[in-house]
Amino acid sequence: MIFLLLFSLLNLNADVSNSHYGCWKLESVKWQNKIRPPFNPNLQLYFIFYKNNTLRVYWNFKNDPDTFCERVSSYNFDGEILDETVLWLHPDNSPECSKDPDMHVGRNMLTPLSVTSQQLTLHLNFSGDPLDYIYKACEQLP
Amino acid sequence: MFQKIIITAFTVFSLQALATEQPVSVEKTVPINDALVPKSSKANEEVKVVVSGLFSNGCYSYDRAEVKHIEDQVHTVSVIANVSQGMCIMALVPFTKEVNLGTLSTGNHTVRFLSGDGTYMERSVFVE
Repeated sequence: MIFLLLFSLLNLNADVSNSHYGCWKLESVKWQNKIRPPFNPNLQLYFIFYKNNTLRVYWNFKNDPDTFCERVSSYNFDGEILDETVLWLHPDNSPECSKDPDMHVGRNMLTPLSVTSQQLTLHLNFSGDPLDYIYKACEQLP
Repeated sequence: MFQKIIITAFTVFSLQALATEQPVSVEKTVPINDALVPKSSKANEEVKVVVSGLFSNGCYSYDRAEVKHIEDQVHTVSVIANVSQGMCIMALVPFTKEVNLGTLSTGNHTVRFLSGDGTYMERSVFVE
Protein backbone atom coordinates (compact mmCIF):
# COMPACT_ATOMS: atom_id res chain seq x y z
CA MET A 1 0.00 0.00 0.00
CA ILE A 2 2.80 2.37 1.04
CA PHE A 3 4.76 1.40 -2.09
CA LEU A 4 1.72 2.10 -4.24
CA LEU A 5 1.39 5.53 -2.64
CA LEU A 6 5.13 6.18 -3.09
CA PHE A 7 5.14 5.20 -6.77
CA SER A 8 1.97 7.12 -7.55
CA LEU A 9 3.51 10.28 -6.01
CA LEU A 10 6.75 9.80 -7.97
CA ASN A 11 4.76 9.27 -11.17
CA LEU A 12 2.74 12.41 -10.51
CA ASN A 13 6.01 14.33 -10.16
CA ALA A 14 7.21 12.91 -13.49
CA ASP A 15 3.98 14.01 -15.21
CA VAL A 16 4.34 17.55 -13.87
CA SER A 17 7.95 17.67 -15.09
CA ASN A 18 6.91 16.62 -18.59
CA SER A 19 4.02 19.01 -19.14
CA HIS A 20 6.33 21.93 -19.90
CA TYR A 21 7.21 20.72 -23.41
CA GLY A 22 6.23 22.88 -26.36
CA CYS A 23 5.96 26.55 -27.21
CA TRP A 24 4.98 29.17 -24.64
CA LYS A 25 4.40 32.89 -25.20
CA LEU A 26 4.50 35.57 -22.53
CA GLU A 27 0.94 36.65 -21.82
CA SER A 28 0.98 38.56 -18.53
CA VAL A 29 3.00 39.28 -15.42
CA LYS A 30 2.18 39.09 -11.72
CA TRP A 31 3.66 42.05 -9.89
CA GLN A 32 2.78 43.18 -6.38
CA ASN A 33 0.08 40.47 -6.27
CA LYS A 34 -1.69 41.84 -9.35
CA ILE A 35 -1.83 40.19 -12.74
CA ARG A 36 -1.30 42.74 -15.52
CA PRO A 37 -0.08 42.91 -19.12
CA PRO A 38 3.70 42.78 -19.69
CA PHE A 39 5.44 46.06 -18.80
CA ASN A 40 6.34 46.56 -22.46
CA PRO A 41 3.15 45.83 -24.45
CA ASN A 42 5.21 45.37 -27.63
CA LEU A 43 7.37 42.60 -26.19
CA GLN A 44 6.87 39.17 -27.78
CA LEU A 45 8.75 36.63 -25.67
CA TYR A 46 8.73 32.92 -26.44
CA PHE A 47 10.09 29.86 -24.64
CA ILE A 48 10.18 26.62 -26.64
CA PHE A 49 11.01 23.47 -24.67
CA TYR A 50 12.12 20.50 -26.76
CA LYS A 51 12.10 16.90 -25.56
CA ASN A 52 15.88 16.58 -26.08
CA ASN A 53 16.37 18.97 -23.12
CA THR A 54 17.00 21.94 -25.36
CA LEU A 55 15.33 25.29 -24.73
CA ARG A 56 14.99 28.04 -27.33
CA VAL A 57 14.26 31.55 -26.07
CA TYR A 58 13.30 34.19 -28.60
CA TRP A 59 12.03 37.72 -28.21
CA ASN A 60 11.34 40.74 -30.37
CA PHE A 61 9.07 43.77 -30.41
CA LYS A 62 5.82 44.08 -32.37
CA ASN A 63 6.75 47.59 -33.42
CA ASP A 64 10.31 46.60 -34.42
CA PRO A 65 10.23 42.97 -35.55
CA ASP A 66 13.72 43.08 -37.10
CA THR A 67 15.31 43.60 -33.69
CA PHE A 68 15.43 40.30 -31.89
CA CYS A 69 17.41 38.20 -29.41
CA GLU A 70 17.59 34.43 -29.51
CA ARG A 71 19.44 31.84 -27.50
CA VAL A 72 19.49 28.06 -27.27
CA SER A 73 20.28 26.33 -23.99
CA SER A 74 20.49 22.89 -22.54
CA TYR A 75 18.20 22.48 -19.57
CA ASN A 76 16.95 20.23 -16.82
CA PHE A 77 13.59 20.64 -15.12
CA ASP A 78 12.85 18.65 -11.97
CA GLY A 79 9.29 19.92 -11.59
CA GLU A 80 10.37 22.95 -9.54
CA ILE A 81 13.63 24.46 -10.79
CA LEU A 82 14.64 25.16 -14.38
CA ASP A 83 18.41 24.67 -14.61
CA GLU A 84 19.55 26.22 -17.89
CA THR A 85 22.97 26.70 -19.50
CA VAL A 86 23.28 28.83 -22.64
CA LEU A 87 24.89 26.96 -25.57
CA TRP A 88 24.29 29.16 -28.63
CA LEU A 89 23.35 32.71 -29.57
CA HIS A 90 21.85 33.70 -32.90
CA PRO A 91 24.60 35.42 -34.96
CA ASP A 92 22.14 38.10 -36.11
CA ASN A 93 21.08 39.04 -32.59
CA SER A 94 20.65 42.76 -31.99
CA PRO A 95 23.79 44.33 -30.44
CA GLU A 96 21.57 45.27 -27.48
CA CYS A 97 21.18 41.57 -26.59
CA SER A 98 24.66 41.38 -25.07
CA LYS A 99 23.54 43.78 -22.32
CA ASP A 100 21.30 40.99 -21.06
CA PRO A 101 23.39 38.77 -18.75
CA ASP A 102 21.23 35.82 -19.82
CA MET A 103 22.38 36.25 -23.44
CA HIS A 104 25.91 34.95 -22.98
CA VAL A 105 27.21 31.49 -23.88
CA GLY A 106 27.99 29.48 -20.75
CA ARG A 107 25.62 31.46 -18.52
CA ASN A 108 23.90 29.13 -16.04
CA MET A 109 20.56 30.07 -14.50
CA LEU A 110 18.46 28.40 -11.82
CA THR A 111 14.90 29.69 -12.03
CA PRO A 112 11.81 28.41 -10.19
CA LEU A 113 9.16 27.34 -12.70
CA SER A 114 5.65 25.97 -12.31
CA VAL A 115 3.52 24.55 -15.07
CA THR A 116 -0.02 23.37 -15.68
CA SER A 117 -1.63 22.32 -18.94
CA GLN A 118 -2.88 25.90 -19.33
CA GLN A 119 0.05 28.02 -18.30
CA LEU A 120 3.74 28.09 -17.50
CA THR A 121 5.02 30.52 -14.88
CA LEU A 122 8.60 31.63 -14.36
CA HIS A 123 9.03 32.88 -10.80
CA LEU A 124 11.56 35.68 -11.16
CA ASN A 125 12.53 38.47 -8.86
CA PHE A 126 12.86 42.14 -9.59
CA SER A 127 15.42 43.69 -7.30
CA GLY A 128 14.35 41.43 -4.45
CA ASP A 129 10.58 41.55 -5.08
CA PRO A 130 8.73 38.60 -6.62
CA LEU A 131 7.77 38.98 -10.27
CA ASP A 132 6.07 36.16 -12.18
CA TYR A 133 6.18 35.88 -15.96
CA ILE A 134 3.06 34.00 -17.07
CA TYR A 135 3.10 32.19 -20.42
CA LYS A 136 0.34 30.59 -22.47
CA ALA A 137 0.79 27.84 -25.03
CA CYS A 138 1.75 29.16 -28.50
CA GLU A 139 -0.21 28.19 -31.56
CA GLN A 140 2.64 29.11 -33.89
CA LEU A 141 6.40 29.01 -33.48
CA PRO A 142 8.16 32.36 -33.89
CA MET B 1 8.39 -4.61 8.49
CA PHE B 2 5.76 -1.89 8.24
CA GLN B 3 8.07 0.51 10.14
CA LYS B 4 10.96 -0.24 7.76
CA ILE B 5 8.78 0.55 4.75
CA ILE B 6 7.73 3.87 6.23
CA ILE B 7 11.37 4.78 7.07
CA THR B 8 12.43 3.85 3.51
CA ALA B 9 9.65 5.98 2.03
CA PHE B 10 10.63 9.02 4.12
CA THR B 11 14.34 8.52 3.26
CA VAL B 12 13.53 8.50 -0.47
CA PHE B 13 11.51 11.72 -0.15
CA SER B 14 14.22 13.38 1.97
CA LEU B 15 16.95 12.50 -0.55
CA GLN B 16 14.75 13.77 -3.37
CA ALA B 17 14.23 17.08 -1.54
CA LEU B 18 17.98 17.42 -0.92
CA ALA B 19 18.73 16.74 -4.57
CA THR B 20 16.55 19.68 -5.71
CA GLU B 21 18.84 22.59 -6.51
CA GLN B 22 17.68 25.93 -5.18
CA PRO B 23 18.44 29.25 -6.88
CA VAL B 24 21.17 31.06 -5.03
CA SER B 25 22.39 34.61 -4.98
CA VAL B 26 25.89 35.99 -4.70
CA GLU B 27 27.08 39.23 -3.14
CA LYS B 28 28.75 41.87 -5.27
CA THR B 29 30.17 45.31 -4.54
CA VAL B 30 28.47 47.74 -6.92
CA PRO B 31 29.57 51.22 -7.98
CA ILE B 32 27.50 54.25 -7.05
CA ASN B 33 26.68 57.22 -9.27
CA ASP B 34 26.68 59.87 -6.57
CA ALA B 35 27.21 60.44 -2.86
CA LEU B 36 25.81 63.29 -0.81
CA VAL B 37 28.21 64.05 2.05
CA PRO B 38 27.78 66.95 4.49
CA LYS B 39 30.55 69.55 4.22
CA SER B 40 30.84 69.70 7.98
CA SER B 41 29.61 67.93 11.08
CA LYS B 42 30.06 68.00 14.84
CA ALA B 43 32.32 65.63 16.77
CA ASN B 44 29.51 64.26 18.95
CA GLU B 45 27.12 63.68 16.04
CA GLU B 46 26.83 60.72 13.71
CA VAL B 47 27.87 61.51 10.14
CA LYS B 48 25.33 60.24 7.63
CA VAL B 49 25.80 60.16 3.85
CA VAL B 50 23.41 59.28 1.04
CA VAL B 51 24.53 57.04 -1.81
CA SER B 52 22.64 56.53 -5.07
CA GLY B 53 23.15 54.51 -8.20
CA LEU B 54 21.62 52.19 -10.77
CA PHE B 55 21.55 48.43 -10.78
CA SER B 56 22.07 47.16 -14.32
CA ASN B 57 19.20 44.64 -14.18
CA GLY B 58 16.51 43.17 -11.95
CA CYS B 59 18.77 40.42 -10.58
CA TYR B 60 20.44 43.01 -8.34
CA SER B 61 18.96 44.04 -5.02
CA TYR B 62 20.44 46.26 -2.33
CA ASP B 63 21.75 44.34 0.65
CA ARG B 64 23.87 46.67 2.79
CA ALA B 65 26.66 49.22 2.91
CA GLU B 66 29.91 48.29 4.61
CA VAL B 67 31.83 51.08 6.35
CA LYS B 68 35.51 50.57 7.22
CA HIS B 69 37.67 53.04 9.11
CA ILE B 70 41.01 52.24 7.46
CA GLU B 71 42.77 55.18 9.18
CA ASP B 72 41.62 57.63 11.82
CA GLN B 73 40.57 60.11 9.13
CA VAL B 74 40.13 57.86 6.09
CA HIS B 75 37.00 55.75 5.69
CA THR B 76 35.66 53.50 2.94
CA VAL B 77 32.08 52.71 1.99
CA SER B 78 31.15 49.68 -0.14
CA VAL B 79 27.62 49.11 -1.37
CA ILE B 80 26.87 45.38 -1.45
CA ALA B 81 24.12 43.96 -3.66
CA ASN B 82 22.67 40.47 -3.81
CA VAL B 83 22.71 39.15 -7.38
CA SER B 84 20.27 36.31 -7.94
CA GLN B 85 21.37 33.54 -10.28
CA GLY B 86 18.05 33.10 -12.07
CA MET B 87 16.92 34.85 -15.25
CA CYS B 88 17.22 38.62 -15.09
CA ILE B 89 14.71 41.30 -16.04
CA MET B 90 16.43 43.84 -18.28
CA ALA B 91 15.69 47.17 -16.62
CA LEU B 92 17.82 49.70 -14.78
CA VAL B 93 16.88 49.75 -11.10
CA PRO B 94 17.64 52.98 -9.22
CA PHE B 95 18.61 52.87 -5.55
CA THR B 96 19.19 55.55 -2.91
CA LYS B 97 20.30 54.65 0.59
CA GLU B 98 21.43 56.44 3.73
CA VAL B 99 24.70 55.20 5.22
CA ASN B 100 25.77 55.96 8.77
CA LEU B 101 29.52 56.51 9.18
CA GLY B 102 29.21 56.85 12.95
CA THR B 103 30.81 59.58 15.06
CA LEU B 104 34.16 60.84 13.78
CA SER B 105 37.02 62.65 15.48
CA THR B 106 37.63 66.35 14.87
CA GLY B 107 39.48 67.27 11.69
CA ASN B 108 39.20 66.74 7.97
CA HIS B 109 38.01 63.27 6.95
CA THR B 110 38.19 61.51 3.60
CA VAL B 111 35.41 59.14 2.59
CA ARG B 112 36.08 56.76 -0.31
CA PHE B 113 33.16 55.07 -2.02
CA LEU B 114 34.57 51.85 -3.49
CA SER B 115 33.36 50.62 -6.87
CA GLY B 116 34.45 47.02 -6.54
CA ASP B 117 36.92 47.25 -9.43
CA GLY B 118 39.74 49.02 -7.59
CA THR B 119 38.48 52.52 -8.34
CA TYR B 120 36.68 54.82 -5.94
CA MET B 121 34.91 58.17 -5.61
CA GLU B 122 36.26 60.46 -2.90
CA ARG B 123 34.49 63.06 -0.76
CA SER B 124 35.54 65.11 2.29
CA VAL B 125 33.80 66.06 5.51
CA PHE B 126 35.14 68.42 8.16
CA VAL B 127 34.27 67.53 11.75
CA GLU B 128 34.31 70.44 14.25
